[in-house]
Amino acid sequence: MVTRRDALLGGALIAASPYVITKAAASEVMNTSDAAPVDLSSMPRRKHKLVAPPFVHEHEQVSTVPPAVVQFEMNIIEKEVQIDDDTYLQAMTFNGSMPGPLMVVHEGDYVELTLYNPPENLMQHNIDFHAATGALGGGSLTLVNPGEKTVLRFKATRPGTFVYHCAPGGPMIPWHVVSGMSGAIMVLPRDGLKDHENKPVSYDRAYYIGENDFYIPKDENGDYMRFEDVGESYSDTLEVMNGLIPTHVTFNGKVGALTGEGALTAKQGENVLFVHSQANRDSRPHLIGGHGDLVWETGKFNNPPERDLETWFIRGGSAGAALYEFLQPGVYAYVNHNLIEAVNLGATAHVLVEGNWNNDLMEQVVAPVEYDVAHEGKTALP
Amino acid sequence: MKRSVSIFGVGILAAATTTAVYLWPAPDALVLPEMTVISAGEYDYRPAGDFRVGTRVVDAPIEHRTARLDFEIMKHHVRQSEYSICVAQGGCEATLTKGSNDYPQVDVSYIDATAYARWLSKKTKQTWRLPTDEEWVRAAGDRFSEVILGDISNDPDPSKRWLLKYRTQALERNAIDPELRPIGSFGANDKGVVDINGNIWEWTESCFQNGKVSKDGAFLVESTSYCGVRAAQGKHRAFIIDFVRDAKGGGCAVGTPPDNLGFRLVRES
Ligand SMILES: [Cu+2]
Repeated sequence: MVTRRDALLGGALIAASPYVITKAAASEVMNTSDAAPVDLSSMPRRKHKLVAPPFVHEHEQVSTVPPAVVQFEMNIIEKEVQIDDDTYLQAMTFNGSMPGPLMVVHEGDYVELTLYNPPENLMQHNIDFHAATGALGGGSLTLVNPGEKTVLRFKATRPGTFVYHCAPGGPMIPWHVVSGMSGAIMVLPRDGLKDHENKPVSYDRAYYIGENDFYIPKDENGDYMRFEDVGESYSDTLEVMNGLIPTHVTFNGKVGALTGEGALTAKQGENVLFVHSQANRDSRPHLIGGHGDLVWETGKFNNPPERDLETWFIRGGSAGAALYEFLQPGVYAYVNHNLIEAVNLGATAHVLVEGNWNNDLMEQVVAPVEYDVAHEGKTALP
Repeated sequence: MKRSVSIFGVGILAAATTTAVYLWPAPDALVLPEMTVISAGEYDYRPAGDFRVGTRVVDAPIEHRTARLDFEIMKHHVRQSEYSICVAQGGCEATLTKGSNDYPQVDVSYIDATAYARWLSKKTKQTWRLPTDEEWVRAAGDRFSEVILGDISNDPDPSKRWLLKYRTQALERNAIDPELRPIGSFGANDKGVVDINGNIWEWTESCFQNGKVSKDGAFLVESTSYCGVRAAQGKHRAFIIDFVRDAKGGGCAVGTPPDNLGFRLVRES
């Protein structure tokens, strides 16, 4: 049983002595320096600056250039984050956001990530790319202590949307993930997305919806607890985690982050791609008032998309993609259709769509009005 | 003038006869709340509910009204300490509270608020009740604000009005932190009523109405009341099911819900 003090002490040791950590995590740490070298010096290199979700960095949908080494940088940031009006989380994040940023490359590109763990952090971290092959998705090559950096390169061989997350070993794995350390990468086919008949399709805008499940302990008064630092939060959080019932389920790291002034926007007639990731737990996105025209439920573009879906399933530890043309203007709610999670725990986003209302698609024929109980409503029942 | 009536509470009596322990201090005297007089006179009022010309949703017509009588309304929200006495004495249902004398009681439903009014009436042998929506508007004075659909004649597209309403309410909501503040934090309005339009929506007695408006939009033709839903007043009027204590999650998938639900009462003379 790890006490809060032990965890704190552990945190302090980690910060002070890299030696302790190396030993503790040795079974999962490797290096590739004795393997046969590969020469990529003739490969073109390109850099992308990552942007915070729900937005996605600029990218081509159909690649007009040959495969390249695509370079990204991420800082791991440990900080307290407000996840609801009355709730704070000692968060661990990729690049300061929950979820971490969406990275976009094309099949055949090499992803080259420089990962920084700044010295003010308390924990060691790494990154496991579901899109990568070998070495625990890169996890066993990237374990960095506070003050260290690492560079990982992997070849994007499979097109699709994939989760990445921190996995620093043992019970640290689920804890880091439910503290915010996950994100997604989209590997596009070089010639872009295709519909069910293998015809090219494109999107006018893309949004990245990262879903997080949080497990925040409560004190004896029933208030959500706040902690001095991430280490202090561990043991109480673990107890709630092991009950498997999240206290919050959010899009973009905070209840209401993608509603109100943070609501997503689109225009009538636009095709919008929604990439949805959940690194830990199953989810079921649903666009209230809309559909998924083409849905890669498992997120892998070598499989033909499903059509006309009402709700799609995101398996815990995966990312999926749905393409939808907004046919009608107005307010849409994009939810996790476990409606308890959507309404009471936070998994709701709104999409504000500008355009002209089409009465052919939907019209209110009779506005709600009192009816004559004596004469009407008798014919409905069998 | 502050009048006060002493009530011998059961806090002490209960402690003597049972082992019940209350989480909050149960004072043995209830001090009557400070009241503000809202004077008679003329004012404009828009009835509460959904209104239509034919099938088109419109704003209710503004009616110019004249009140012949003054009325008294609580200067402050009902406090946690006050509500706690009601709970301790069995007049009110327990809800989330710290029993503080400095903070307003929120997390109350319409049912809780009216139970408190009944209890207080019994204790004081005076008549206490929630204000009507119309009385609240009068008491809100210069703090009164409402979200209206606006002139629809140049842009009848329903989606545009929907989006406009959404954006207006989102702006409004973001202007204020929903975290509970001590009584008095939002100051007094021109009538001397404190904390109107802060981050607490206040229950009113008024039922939701579905009404028909004349073709020119000038007057109300008829309306039907649905009393399972009551008007709660704050930065905009919200319609909330009477047993709901926390409407932060919203009543529907879209729209901007109230931050907190609290109340203040009117004393009838
Ligand atoms: Cu980590």
